[in-house]
Amino acid sequence: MTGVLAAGGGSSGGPADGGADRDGGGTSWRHPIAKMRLLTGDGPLYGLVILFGLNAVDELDRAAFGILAPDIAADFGIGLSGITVVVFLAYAVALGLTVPIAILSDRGNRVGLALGGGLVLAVFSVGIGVAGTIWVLGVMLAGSQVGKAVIDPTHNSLLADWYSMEIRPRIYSFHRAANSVGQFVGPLSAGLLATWFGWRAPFIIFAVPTVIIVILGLRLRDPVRGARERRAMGASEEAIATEEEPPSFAEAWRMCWKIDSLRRIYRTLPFLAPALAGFLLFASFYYEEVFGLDAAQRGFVGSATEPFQLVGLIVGARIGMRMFAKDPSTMFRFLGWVVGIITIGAAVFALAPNIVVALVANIVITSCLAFLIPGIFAALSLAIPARARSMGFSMGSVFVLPGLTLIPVIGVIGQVWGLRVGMLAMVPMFLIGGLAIASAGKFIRRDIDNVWTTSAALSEVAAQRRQGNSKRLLVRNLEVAYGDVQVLFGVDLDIDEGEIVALLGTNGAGKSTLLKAISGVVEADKGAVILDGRDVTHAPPNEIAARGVIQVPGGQGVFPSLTVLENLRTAGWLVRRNRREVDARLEQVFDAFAVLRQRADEPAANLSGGQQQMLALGMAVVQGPRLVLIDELSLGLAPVVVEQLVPMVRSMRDDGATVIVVEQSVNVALTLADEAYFMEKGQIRFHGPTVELLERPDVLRSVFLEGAASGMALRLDASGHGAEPAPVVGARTLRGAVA
Amino acid sequence: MGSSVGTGAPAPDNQRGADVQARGPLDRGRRFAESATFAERAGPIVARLRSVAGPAVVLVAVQLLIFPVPLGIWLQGVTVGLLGALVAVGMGLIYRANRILNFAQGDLGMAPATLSLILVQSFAWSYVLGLVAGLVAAIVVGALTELVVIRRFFTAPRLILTVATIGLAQVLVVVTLLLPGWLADLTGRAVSDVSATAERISLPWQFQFDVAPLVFRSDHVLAWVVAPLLLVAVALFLRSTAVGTAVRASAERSDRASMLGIPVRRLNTYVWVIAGVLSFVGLFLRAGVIGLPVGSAFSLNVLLMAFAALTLGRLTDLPSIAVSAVALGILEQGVVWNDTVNLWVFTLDARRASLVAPIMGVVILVALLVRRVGQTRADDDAASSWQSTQDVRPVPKELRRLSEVRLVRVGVVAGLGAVLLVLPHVLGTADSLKASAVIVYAMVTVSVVVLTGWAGQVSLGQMGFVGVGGAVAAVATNQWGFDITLALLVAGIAGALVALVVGLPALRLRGLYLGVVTLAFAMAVSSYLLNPQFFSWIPQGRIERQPLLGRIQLESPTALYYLCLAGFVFALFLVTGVRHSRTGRVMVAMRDNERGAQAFGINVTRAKLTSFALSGFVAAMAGGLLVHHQQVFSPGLIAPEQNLLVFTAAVVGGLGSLVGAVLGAVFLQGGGWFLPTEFQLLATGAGVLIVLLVLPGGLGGLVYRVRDLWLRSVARRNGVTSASLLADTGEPDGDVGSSADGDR
Repeated sequence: MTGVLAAGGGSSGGPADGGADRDGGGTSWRHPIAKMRLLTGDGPLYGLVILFGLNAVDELDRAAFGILAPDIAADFGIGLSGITVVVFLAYAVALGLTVPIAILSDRGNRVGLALGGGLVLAVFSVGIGVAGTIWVLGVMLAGSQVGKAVIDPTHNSLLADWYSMEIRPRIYSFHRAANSVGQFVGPLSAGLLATWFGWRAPFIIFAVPTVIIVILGLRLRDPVRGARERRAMGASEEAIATEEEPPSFAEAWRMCWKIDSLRRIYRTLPFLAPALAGFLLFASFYYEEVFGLDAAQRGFVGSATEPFQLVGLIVGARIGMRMFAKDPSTMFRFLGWVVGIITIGAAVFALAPNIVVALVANIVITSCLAFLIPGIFAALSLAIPARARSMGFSMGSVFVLPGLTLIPVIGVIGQVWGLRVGMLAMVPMFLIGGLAIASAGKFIRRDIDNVWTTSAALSEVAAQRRQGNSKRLLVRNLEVAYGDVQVLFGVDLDIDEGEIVALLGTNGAGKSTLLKAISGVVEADKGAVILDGRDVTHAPPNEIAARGVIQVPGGQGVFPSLTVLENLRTAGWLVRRNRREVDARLEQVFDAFAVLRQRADEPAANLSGGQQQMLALGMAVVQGPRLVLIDELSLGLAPVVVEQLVPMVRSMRDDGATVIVVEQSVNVALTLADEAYFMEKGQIRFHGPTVELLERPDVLRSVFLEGAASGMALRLDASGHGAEPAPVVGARTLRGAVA
Repeated sequence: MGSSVGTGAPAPDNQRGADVQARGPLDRGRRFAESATFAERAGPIVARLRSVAGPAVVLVAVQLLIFPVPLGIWLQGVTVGLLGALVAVGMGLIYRANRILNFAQGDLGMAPATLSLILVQSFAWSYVLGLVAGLVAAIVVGALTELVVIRRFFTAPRLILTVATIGLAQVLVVVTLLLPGWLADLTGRAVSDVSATAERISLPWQFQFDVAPLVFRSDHVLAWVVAPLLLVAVALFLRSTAVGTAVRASAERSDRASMLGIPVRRLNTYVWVIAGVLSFVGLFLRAGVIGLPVGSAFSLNVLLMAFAALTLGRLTDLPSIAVSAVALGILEQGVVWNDTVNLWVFTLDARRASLVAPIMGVVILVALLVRRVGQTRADDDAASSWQSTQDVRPVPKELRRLSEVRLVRVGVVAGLGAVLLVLPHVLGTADSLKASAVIVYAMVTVSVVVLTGWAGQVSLGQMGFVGVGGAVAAVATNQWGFDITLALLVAGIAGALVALVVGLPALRLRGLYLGVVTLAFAMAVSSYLLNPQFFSWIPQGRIERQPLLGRIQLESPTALYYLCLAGFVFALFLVTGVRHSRTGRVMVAMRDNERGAQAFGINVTRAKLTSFALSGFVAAMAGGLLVHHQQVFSPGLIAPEQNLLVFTAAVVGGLGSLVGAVLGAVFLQGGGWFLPTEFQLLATGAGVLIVLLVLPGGLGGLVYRVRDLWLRSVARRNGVTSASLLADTGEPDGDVGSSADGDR
């Protein structure tokens, strides 16, 4: 929450800084390194410098290509449209690599990955310099783009884990300043080197600083993921140092996709990214075609505008930090205004009557663009859970890809109708992007809250574990909605090992939805589901099943066109290698339900309702589950049949599983369960030992529970566990009570 | 793990047969062997044989009686049929796994096969190397297709995914067409050097033997060996392996399967890879046997044959599909052989096989109707009518009276009208003609919207009606001397009559099955029914534009433009009039809930036929205008691919509104102006995928959403609450309360 930001905010802008940091008006001269240390708070300065360096050299390369593109195009004999196709293909390859690299980055050594990327950049940069044909050039360009593909996931994740949350806007801005430095030094040096030695020279020469920085960076060590957040929450030292288990690709994807503000940002990317990427490329062609500048002149122009990026970063960081500390959502609105200014600037630039106006517009655009990305990253670093940070930062690349298809289109427009029209075509893209970013601010608060909820729940479970109390399942503050209809409102569940728990409630209370959210079929919007100490809120259903969770759905539990035996074997998918164990469990099921053995080769559709439920229960047994979720065990079944199912459920518990039974028939629930939860309208109204439920008339408002309760109260013995199974035959079920 | 299970053995549900207490599933074989009589044992086998081979036997009988061929040709038919069986079984596999008809099945294999051919023929790679390269390409194409496209539609209605495969097919066709160019650029050779010719490629080891009148080579033997092996492997995979059973389970209930830990999406990728490989092998071996023509027309023929085999096999019975495909191959060869020898004049162009499409169409129709495909409850999803997720709503009546709204509405209409009227004077001659073409195609897309968007009947054969209308109109003006207005009316009526005939299967078929039948109809029309070689009344040569009403000359593009505009406006009035009448409401009701509508006493038969007739009328009128616009009746106009092109363009424009229809036509023709022909297909193919994924309402839906945003701001400013505008803003207001959807 923002409160935490405010609370932690004292530590970095602490008393030691005095006035120098706050107004920057130069009240006292400081040694640069000391000043830098103020910048980084208690994080490593060296790491920031190395990452800065890697980012800068990557930018050198790209800026050089942008400035020299006309010369390269002329050398290979292709026009603007040709080079845009090459650029597009190269970017596409690099973008395609971003997500796989992010997966690696979330699991492994980020520093190693970052340094490796730098090395690849150096090698392929030299390759660009020596490229003979257009296709080799394309391949080399793609390889050097890998450098960029590595930067987004690894650098941003490292920065988030090295530095505390309240100074992140400043950190990201500083890191981003490397882009500015690169775009300042790049065109200048590239232009000059190209004029003296030809366009190939800069690419070869730029590899040298890259390699130097990589070697210097070998000293760095990988930080612990999420340590900052856990420290701010007040967790113990041991907990801070423990990383969470890295998520699978599917889980990370689902996790990030559920973050509303992130999703909104992703949707802007197809528009913003090509506009940003194309701008530099087209600007140089624009200067050449409309105002007739050559390579060196373009270099000077480029370098003249770049220092203003730093201005933009400094000003933006200052404003951004203030808004960030107050409320991250206001910062998004500020960013929206920034993009608005960019839009106007782009329009002015496209229609500029002379070079002075064009230059001014260029300056305005670049200085505004500078702060945009660091600002977004700083805010998102709070909203993305630590263990999926790399994925969250780089998933956007998948959305950039379709947007890049627009670049060749703009290239064609530029070639056919002139570059002014091409530039104007980018204006609406900026506009749409800006509107979308401004609207993302609505969601950022909720997303940050959500991350904290999950972390708190995990800490709670860890604490309980240390006390020797192991919870099988913990659900905290779960909210689930189907489209616009919200079904669960902040549901909490605590379930220990080896329990049978009943989940009761009327129709529409959300019981089935809760089970589906636990088993992963339905994805929760907010809240956390912790299974055996592991966060599985966003894991896909087959991964949750692999952790031993089996759901027996009501009414749709069998595959109608498969035979009974095939149904059972399919249910044993996760343990299918262990043939003997599966066969043993099959025998167990057939012993319990003889009719299944008789009809083993018939399609399951031929079975009656009760037999299908037997089959469904048998399918649950085959896998050897640790948590069984049974939805509507007795729905539509005669009491005689239910009587046969109950022993199977008990035997599952005896084999070590924990069982949650959703029921409308109170008799079955009370017979089986030790604990009961009562739900109404998406919230838990009661939970406790089953016997206590009968003593709570305020909870048992609904007719069916009252009627049945009065019949049942006599049958339970004093211990309240219902050790004597009440005979199901003759007791009143839901239908009996209502009718 | 055999711990105690309950208190005592529960009584079994079912006492019948309780005395035959076999101990386990393994004992059923023993039980079977102990059965009493031969008849009991043979019974199920005979029944199975009949269901598998029945249709094939009928087809072969037809061939033997009506299209007799020498033995060599017969054997050729078996070969071609076996290879077609590979494609059909791939399609059946995808149906088993995804419950859709995969329109891209042929093209999944076409691109890798073309690659192999080019490598072997133009780059002198060895046969084996080319085969391996193609195999790798097939795997990559299959996997990429599933990962990038099909997976996005995981939870979408099956009909939508089927339409997405149409778009996918178009994209793959573009890739195939561009392949020679890319390879030429990559290796620095000239494009003309690099091409997949229609010649055969041959195995390195050759031997041959004669079966009159053909020579059979080792390539044929390879096909005879490989194809059945693959088919058996696929059938065994699906039936006996754990993965195959998991695939079947996932197809039936994917949520339940994933709850059991089955990686449903990954398995789906495997299925698509297998289908792609099957398709590739079938086409590659075909190249060795009779050559592989390059071009999208061919892949549509492959598709049609695969559909026919699929429907004969009741969509799910893989052995039956395979056997039927072989029989269809025999029949096809019989038709082609007799076409050139006995009954019709031999010509050298690709129209030799003109009767194949009509015959396949008849086969599909009969199979769907007789075998009762798509009528079980499980098929309801696939057989559903087209339900766009966003219907466009009229301006709410609370807002209609506001002067602001009235001003804008009148202004927009007046402005558009003015622009349209002035347009030919602003544009040059060529552009005026293009604008007229857009208007005529807008009429065609309007007819699609009427039939599919409003009445929910998926029709992939609009160009068939267009062709009929065009032919009739041309004959009317040039041979019978009718005035053009009368000619258009007559053409329209002819189109409506033909559409009524096509609509008859619609009474029994729905959803994508109807779509397949209409496509078959369109292919039959273009290859046979409107083929001047068979019917001499179809006009060939230049078609003159007679003066309108005897006075107004139509030679200039401007006059033609105004004529087309007048026709379009007439069609628009007609169609909107119907939409606002009871007939229109009945159509929409039938689309949304056919059984419900019947329960209210609506005569669904009449409604369906009316919608077909109306759509056919408009399409035929458009056809009449089109032939006078082009001044020739060209078969390319109504080529089968055009049907899919028009349909996908209509989907891109948006099937929910007439505005969408017009936008779709603009998109279709606009693509043709700016982009080279290959990219035009890419535009519609990719466009359809994007629209189905992101913009279900199409471009027209986008326009209406913007309009609704504006209307909402108007309502806010004037303090008017309009319930229909607020209903789907998605902003929760106040207490959400009891969830209507309940405990799902």
